[in-house]
Amino acid sequence: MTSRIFLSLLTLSLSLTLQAARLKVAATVPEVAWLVKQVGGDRVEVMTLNSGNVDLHFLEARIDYIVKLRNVDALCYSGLGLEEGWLPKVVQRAGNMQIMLGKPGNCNLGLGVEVLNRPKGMVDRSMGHIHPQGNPHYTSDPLSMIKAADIVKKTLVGLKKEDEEFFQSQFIKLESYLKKLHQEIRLKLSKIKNRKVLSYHSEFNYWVESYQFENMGMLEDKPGMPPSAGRIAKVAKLAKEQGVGVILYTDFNNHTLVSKFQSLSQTKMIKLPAHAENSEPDSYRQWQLLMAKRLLDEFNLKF
Amino acid sequence: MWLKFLVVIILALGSQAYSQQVQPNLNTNWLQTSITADFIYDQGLSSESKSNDDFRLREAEAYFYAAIDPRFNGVLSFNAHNEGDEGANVEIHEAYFESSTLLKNWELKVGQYFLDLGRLNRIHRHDWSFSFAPLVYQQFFDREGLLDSGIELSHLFGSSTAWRLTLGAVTGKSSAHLHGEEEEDEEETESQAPSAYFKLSAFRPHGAGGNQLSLIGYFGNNTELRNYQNLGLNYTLKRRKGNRLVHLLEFEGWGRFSSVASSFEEQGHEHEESEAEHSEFFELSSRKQFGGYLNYAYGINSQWSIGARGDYFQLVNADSEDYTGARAEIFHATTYLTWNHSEFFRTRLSLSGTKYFIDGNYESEDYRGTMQFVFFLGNHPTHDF
Repeated sequence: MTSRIFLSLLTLSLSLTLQAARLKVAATVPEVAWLVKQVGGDRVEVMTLNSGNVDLHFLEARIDYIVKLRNVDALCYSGLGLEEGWLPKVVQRAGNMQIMLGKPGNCNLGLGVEVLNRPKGMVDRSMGHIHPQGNPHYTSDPLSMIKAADIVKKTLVGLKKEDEEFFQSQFIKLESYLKKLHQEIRLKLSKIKNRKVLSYHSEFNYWVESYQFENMGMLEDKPGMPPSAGRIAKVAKLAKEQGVGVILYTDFNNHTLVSKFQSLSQTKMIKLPAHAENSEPDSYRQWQLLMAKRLLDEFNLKF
Repeated sequence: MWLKFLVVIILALGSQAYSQQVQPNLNTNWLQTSITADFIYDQGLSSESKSNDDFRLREAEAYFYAAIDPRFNGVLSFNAHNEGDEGANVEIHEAYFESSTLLKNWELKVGQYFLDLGRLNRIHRHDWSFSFAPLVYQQFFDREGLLDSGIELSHLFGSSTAWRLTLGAVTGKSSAHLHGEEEEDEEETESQAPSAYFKLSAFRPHGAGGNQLSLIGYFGNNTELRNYQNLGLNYTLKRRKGNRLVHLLEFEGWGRFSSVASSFEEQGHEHEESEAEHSEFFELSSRKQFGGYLNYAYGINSQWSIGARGDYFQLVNADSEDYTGARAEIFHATTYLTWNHSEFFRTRLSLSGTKYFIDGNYESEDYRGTMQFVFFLGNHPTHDF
C-alpha cells in the first residue's frame, strides 16, 4: 500500500515537472497551433484561441482571449494585419510582458513569409480593406508554412535555448513533411494545372499559385467590399471570354453574390475551408487533401 | 468652438505626420488616431413630437491612443457636441492612463473615463447598434454615458467561463455628463459627490461570438439625490459568421433608489425642452425608479442589418403638485435598418415612438423618424464584444 502511494506521488511529481518544463504557447487558429506542435513536439503545450470556422479579421477583443493569454510563454499569429482588429488590444490587456510586441514570445509568423500582393506606393481606404503589408492568407500554402515554421523555431529557441537542437531537428522533419505534402498535392492537381481560377476574396492566392493554377484575381473589386452588380457582370463576361474554370470561396463570403456570378459566367463554384479544422497531427494534411479533392471532384476527375 | 476642435485635430495629425517624416523607414506607432463624425437628421411624425426636424452634426470626436512606455498606455479624446444656436461645445472626454502589467492579473485605469457600468457605457455612442440612448440610460447615465474622474481596477479570471470583476471609485464631479451653460451650473451644484461602483461579468464564448452576463452596482452621494444606489443587470448575446453579425441580443435592466426624489429628465433627443409638452409627466418625481431595454438586431449580410428595441421606464410612487403616489410610465419602441458600407462608414434609418402614461392613463406621445450617418477616419478601430 505504502509503495503504491509512493509510486503515485512519484508519477504525479514527474508529470508536474514535465508540465512545468513545457512552454505554453497560444495560437490564433488551428493550423498555426498545428505548426507550433510540429516544431515544439512534447516540449510545448499549445492552445488554440479559435476553431477553424472563423474569419480572423472580424473577431472581437473578448475577455476569454485576454484570460487565456495571461500566462502563456508565446503567442503565435498570422500577422500582416490579419488580426489587427482585435489581437493588439487583447495582447495589451492581457498584461503579459513576454508576448508583447518586440518581446521574445511575440511570434509573428507573417514576418518570415514571402508575401504576395504587397501594395506599392501610397495606400488609403479608397482601395478597400487593403493590407499594407501584403496578403496575410498564406497558411493554406505548405511552402509558406515552412517559412512560418522557421519563425516558430526561432521563437521557441529564444525562449528555451537548451532545447535548440530538438527544435531544429523537429523543424527539419516538418520541412520535409510539408515539402512531401506539397509534392503529393501538386501531383494530384497536375491534371488540372494551369486552369484559370478566380477567388471571391484573396484567401487562396498562395494556394492557387503554389499549385500552378493561373490566378485570375478576385470577384471583389476592392478587398473586403462586396462586388456590385456591375462588377459581377463585368467579371462574369471576362471569365466566360477567358475560360475561367472555377471560382473559389469560403463560408464567410456572400453566397448570393457568388451564385449570381456563377449563373452569369457558368464557372464552377467551389467552397473551401479557410482554415484547418483543428490542430490534430493529421489536420493540416487533411485540409490540403480536402481542398484538392473538392477541385478534382468538380472537374469529375479521380482524386 | 468648432475652430478649437479643428485646431486640436490639426495639431495631432501634424505631429503624427512629422514623426513619420523624420523616420520614414520605420514602422512607427507613436500615436494612433481616430476621428469620428456623427450626423443626425430627425423628423417628427406626430403633432406632439419634440423632434428637432433638422439635419445636424451631432458630434465629432478625435481619439488618440498610444503606449506611453513599457508599462502604461494613454488615451486622450476630444469631443465637440453640437449645442444648437450656441455652436459647438468642445471638451476633453477621456484622458486617462492604464496599465495591465503593473499588478499581475489586474488592469488599472486612472484619469477621466467612461465608467465600466452597463453594456453601453463603455461603448462610444457612435458605435451603438441604435442611434439614441435607451430611456433608462438617459435618466441614469445621460445621453452619452457616465463620464467621471477616478480609478478603476479590473481583475480577470476563469477558464471555460471568463470572469471579470471591476471595482471603481470616482469623484462624482462630472458624473452628470451634461452640456451647455445652464448645465455647467448644475454640475457645480453636484460637486463633491464621490461614487463607487462594481461590475461582475461572466463571459462564455460561442464560436466567433459569445454570451455575457453582468451584475452592476453604482453607489454615491450627491447634493441632488443624497444617497443613491443604482443596481443593474445586463445580458449580451452575439452570434457571428465571418464578417456578418447574425444575431445581436442586448438586455439591460436598472433600478435606482435615492434619498431624494428626482424627475425624468428628457435629454435623449437633445432638444430644448418645451414646457408646453408633457408638462404633467415631467413634474412628477420619485425616489424609486426602474427601467430597461431589450434590443435585437439581425444581420441580413455583412452590410445590412435590421433591428428593434423596446424600452420601459417607471417612476414608482411619484409625486407632483397634482399627483401623489402616481405610477409614471414611459414606453418606447424603435425599429432600425443599418447599412455598414464598410467598417468605416455607417448609415442608419430609424422609426421610433414614445408614449407617456400616468397611473395607466395616456398623457402624450412622440413619433419620429431619424437618419444617422457615422464615418471614421484614421486607425482601424478595435472590434469589441
